[in-house]
Parts: sequence; structure tokens; C-alpha cells
Amino acid sequence: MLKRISKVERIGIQILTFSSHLLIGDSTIINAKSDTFAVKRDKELFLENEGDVINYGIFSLPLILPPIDQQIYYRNQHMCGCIVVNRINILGATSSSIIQIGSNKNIYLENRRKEIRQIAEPENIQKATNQTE
Amino acid sequence: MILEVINHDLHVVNINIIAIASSSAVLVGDTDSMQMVCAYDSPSSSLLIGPFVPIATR
Repeated sequence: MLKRISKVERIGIQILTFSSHLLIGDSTIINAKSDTFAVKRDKELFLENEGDVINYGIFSLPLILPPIDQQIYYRNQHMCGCIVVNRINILGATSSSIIQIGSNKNIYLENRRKEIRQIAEPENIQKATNQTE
Repeated sequence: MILEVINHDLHVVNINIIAIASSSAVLVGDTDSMQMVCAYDSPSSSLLIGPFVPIATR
């Protein structure tokens, strides 16, 4: 399939983290995968041997996707051969996200996230239980 | 299914985005297929109240 030319005059991005990509140019296949194990605590505590053995179901459960092998008769006409954007401003990209200037064929992005909150201080227990209700 | 697309002139002046997160995409261009999956697990059982215990140590 004939693709158009992308033309961006100016792009500004502040943060790119956790298998996120900025891609300038054409590509064929992008597969990005990111597993996050997030622990929030009401005290600043980091134990470096934590999270070595993570066997939560969310990291192993199969994700069922709709098939993309449907027979579609697709035809496109490009009256203008380019996409023009003057300015792009992005503050942050995270957790297997893609910023691409250019054409692509197949994109597959996957992100699994397990979040745990630990609360020890008595005054914060009341606050946390009010939030969940 | 028959799909016929005619792309005319496309000119965008300004794009402002705060955040792109959890397997999302910003694409200035053409693509054939996109598949995005995000699984987020934060059940009520993940709220642990009590003294700090290390999680999933070897």
C-alpha cells in the first residue's frame, strides 16, 4: 500500500519512559511490551530485593485480541501525498506507548500493571479507606 | 466488506498532549493495523494495611 509522507516542523517531548518510543521515519512492525509492578507506600521505603519473584496472574494471563485477518477490500486514494503538522508538544510518554512520525504496517502494544498500596501510619488508614469507598 | 478511502489535504497547525500512557499511540502517518492491550490490576485486596512487609522476595 502506498503511504503518505509525514512532515513535522517542530516536536518537543519532555519525558520518555518504560518502553515508550519516539520513532522518526517509517517502520514495518512494532511490538512493545511493558510489565509494571507498582508498590505505593505512605513512607519512603525501598527494599531492593523486592519483586524478584512475581507470580501474579496479570503477568501471565492470555489477552484475547480480535483477529486482524478479516477479508476487507480496501482501496485508498491520496489526493495529497503528505501530512503536515507544524508543531507537536508532548509532556510525557510512558508504559509501552509510541510516538511515530512516519508510516507503519503493524503496531502491537502491550502493558500489564499490578498496583499495591501499603499503609502503616494510623492517620493514613482512615484516608485510604475513605478513598476506596 | 468494501472500504474506499480518499485522503485529501491534511494540514495540522498545533498538537498539545499532556501524557501518552498505557500502550497508546500518537501516529503522524499511515498504518495498516494497530493492536493495543492494557491490563491494569488494582483490586481492593491490594490495599494492605499494617506494618511494611517485603513483597515477593526470593
